[in-house]
Amino acid sequence: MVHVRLFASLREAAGQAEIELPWDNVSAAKGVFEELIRRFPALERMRPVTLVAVNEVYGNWETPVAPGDRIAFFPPVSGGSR
Amino acid sequence: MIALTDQPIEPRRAELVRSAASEGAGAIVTFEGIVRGESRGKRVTHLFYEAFPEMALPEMERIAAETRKRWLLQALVLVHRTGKVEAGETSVLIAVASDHRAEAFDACRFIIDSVKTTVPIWKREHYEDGAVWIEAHA
Repeated sequence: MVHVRLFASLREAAGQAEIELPWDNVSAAKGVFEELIRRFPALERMRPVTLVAVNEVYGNWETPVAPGDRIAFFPPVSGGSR
Repeated sequence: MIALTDQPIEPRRAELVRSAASEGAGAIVTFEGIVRGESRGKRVTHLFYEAFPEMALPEMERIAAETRKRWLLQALVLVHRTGKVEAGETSVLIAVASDHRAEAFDACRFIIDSVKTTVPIWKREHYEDGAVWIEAHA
């Protein structure tokens, strides 16, 4: 299994904050997101702005994932005020 | 002192800024981000900050470490609100102490710019007639 967390507008698009996915030989974060899109098609349009973190460290679509990893997808951050 | 808090920062402002003081520090520069009551021509009632705390806090620590590599600092305070923050309230407080003012000004600016680009905290603006996520570059 991999543990997926979604935040902010991605969480709302999926309607879920946390999802457990079977690992199933997914080799990179990209594959995990594609599986999410199959389950939550509304995530498709978020793909161009989506950021990736694996085990709480910034990664990218090619970052390898292994069983037990914690993978987070979220939009660009907006901490603080402008 | 690096923290996320769902409680108002204002009552602790003086204490937090003062905690940066020491005999060696000739300057403390502070920055406060305040929730604006108006945005895109609409009245903002409040913001909601959603954080990914398990990543946000380490990211804030990483920014602090990077800042200390670039400037010789005596102290660094960084506190960010989460949850509902009313218009006019402080969303983020930074206090930086250094021997002389130049380092503290530069470091403070670097910290807030970094916080806004890499710390996983998202802001949802609430108006009288709805709400939208404010994402970077929006």
